[in-house]
Amino acid sequence: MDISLDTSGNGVVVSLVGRLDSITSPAAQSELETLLENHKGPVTLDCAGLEYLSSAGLRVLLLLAKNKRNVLTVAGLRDNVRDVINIAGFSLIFKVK
Amino acid sequence: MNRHDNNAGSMGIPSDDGWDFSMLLPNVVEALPELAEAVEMFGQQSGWTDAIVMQVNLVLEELVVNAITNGYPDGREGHIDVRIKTTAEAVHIRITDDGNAFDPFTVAAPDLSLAVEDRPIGGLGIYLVRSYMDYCGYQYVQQRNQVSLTKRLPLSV
Repeated sequence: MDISLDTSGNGVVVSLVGRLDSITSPAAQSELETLLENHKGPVTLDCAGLEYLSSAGLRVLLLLAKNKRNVLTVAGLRDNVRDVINIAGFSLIFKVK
Repeated sequence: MNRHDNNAGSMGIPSDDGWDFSMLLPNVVEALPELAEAVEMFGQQSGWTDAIVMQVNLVLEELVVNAITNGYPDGREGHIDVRIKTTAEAVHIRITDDGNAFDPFTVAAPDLSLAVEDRPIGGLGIYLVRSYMDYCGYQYVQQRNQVSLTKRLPLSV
């Protein structure tokens, strides 16, 4: 899982590339916390490169949404990943573009 | 169930049981990438769509992780046996482990209508399994947990 941060525009864009599964999620969780520690504003997760999402990854997204409340946007979802997000009802807890 | 003994890809080891794919995993999550890779290759050889490959791998991940976290609280070594049989109509999956008896399908379904601050962390894995599979069954047989799943395949035109 590659995570990168772009603060050049309005708000923060975090790009997730790779898999968010039981193996990669614990490290991704702590990396996201560290990266976003000093950014209190709205966050957009660019998921165009997110290939796979399981419940371990949903947990990471939910924790992020809990911290950021309603200022989290998820963008660029691939069909398979969007499907998992929809089944989990996460389109109700953050903005899905 | 119909028997299809000889349509295995090179990754699957057909057993006398008629399974097309078989893999024995140690009870550690680090075994998952190898399983995912083998299932992806097997699924492609079997003509599954990308969506089916993803769904089968997700379901296997959820149930194997579930078996590992619930079955071996004393930290003992164990094994999880994953088998798949695929026909034109359906994918059949059987996961067997030597962990403590635990029926994953007794886990309560999550309340998806809750606000973000009230949503509990976790509880979604088994819900995803139920959503993606058409049949989910559990038995405790010969001191082993046995989960049986069926995913009906969309009819190809």
